[in-house]
Amino acid sequence: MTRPSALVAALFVVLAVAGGPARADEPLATDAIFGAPRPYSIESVRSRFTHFSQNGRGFQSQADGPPGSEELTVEQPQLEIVAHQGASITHRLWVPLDVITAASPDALDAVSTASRTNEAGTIDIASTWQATRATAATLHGGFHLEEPYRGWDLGAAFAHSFADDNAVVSASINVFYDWLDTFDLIGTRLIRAGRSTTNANLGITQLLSSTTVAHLDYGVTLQSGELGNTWNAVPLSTGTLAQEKLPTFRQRHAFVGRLAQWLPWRGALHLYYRFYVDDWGMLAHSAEAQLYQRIGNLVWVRASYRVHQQSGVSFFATSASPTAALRSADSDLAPFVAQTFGGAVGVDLPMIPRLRLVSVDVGYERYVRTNDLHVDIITIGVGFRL
Amino acid sequence: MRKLLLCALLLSGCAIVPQNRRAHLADPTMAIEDDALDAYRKQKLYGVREGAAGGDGAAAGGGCGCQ
Repeated sequence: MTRPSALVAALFVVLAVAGGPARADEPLATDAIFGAPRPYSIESVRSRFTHFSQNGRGFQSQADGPPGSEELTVEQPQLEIVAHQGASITHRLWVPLDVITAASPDALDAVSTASRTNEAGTIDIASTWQATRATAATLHGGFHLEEPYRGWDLGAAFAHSFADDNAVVSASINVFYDWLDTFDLIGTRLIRAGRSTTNANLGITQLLSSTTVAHLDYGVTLQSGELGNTWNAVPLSTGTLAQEKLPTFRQRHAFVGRLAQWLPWRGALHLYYRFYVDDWGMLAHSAEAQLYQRIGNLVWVRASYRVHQQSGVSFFATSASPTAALRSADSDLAPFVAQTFGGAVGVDLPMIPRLRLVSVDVGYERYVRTNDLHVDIITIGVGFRL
Repeated sequence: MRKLLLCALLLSGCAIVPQNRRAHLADPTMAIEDDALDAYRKQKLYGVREGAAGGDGAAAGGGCGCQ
């Protein structure tokens, strides 16, 4: 009789010690499963390098024209670090750089470095507070620096999910202020000018089915101040060149729709449409389709096509009247159709010790405009999840 | 026809997709927004080269001292 009693008692002691304070009717806390969150931990480090090579001609450029050369190259490295602070705060540090050689500013020495290159850099920090499981708020601030230009920006965003994350409503507001040096048409550096930009956005993302998700967005941007680079030339009907004259205020509206559809053969189709209108007389439609295909578990390929059609601003002219109150010969403000053809391949490698995931992708795009401009783009991205 | 299409869109939007049926939606290739770094290099091109850029969350282009 004594042996079973001793066995039961020993079993009770073992269960009491091993079970600890938990009871069957108590759910396990997140900390009990994953451990207590570390006070500060890096979640991911990603970088991307992009090379742009542009060729074409535009009447705003004085380089070997008119129409002048718009030859330009940009080397663009970017670095992004995402870190968690405790359980509910996430920080994102993002640093993009642009190293630019461009014929148009070189023609009048608006960028005066001897190497004829202009280095532009931005530092942007965003902090997100996950207030509840469904609600998040983000604050961000940034600083932009390049030779004739300084910029500062501040922004706030809010997102709330409904119906078990089936719908997410988001809103954001961003304020930018820029200082820029102004120039005359022969490259003399004049006074410093300013420009302010205020932007507000409202969006909704909705799951439509287990294979379809849609997103709608509206954004408005108000700008005031010096809205040009100040060295753009405009050919006059008299055969001479004059300075561009732009309004000092601009109101811009954009409506965006996106749709992502999973395809039964492990592919995904993304459709995008954007309608744009502003008070300079510009009206534009942009549409894009991207087709992803997974090959095995690690590799994906993507083909993309984009078309953009814009009406041009109401005061665009390549032979302007000398008395015109507003005038621009900037090919970017002209009526044109632009097409982008692209492809990319990526691989996700969940096999390196201590890293949850390493991803690498390489892409190429060609951007072609009907008004004599094309750009070749090569991009390489590398990301680590820790 | 337009009203029918709108109704269909709105009604389908009310469908609830439970968490355990979102495996395909969780695939990175289904992300509704572009990857942030990839989006920036696109915005750099379109923001500088197209006068109809901006207005949708991105800094409206123009005035960049270099291009």
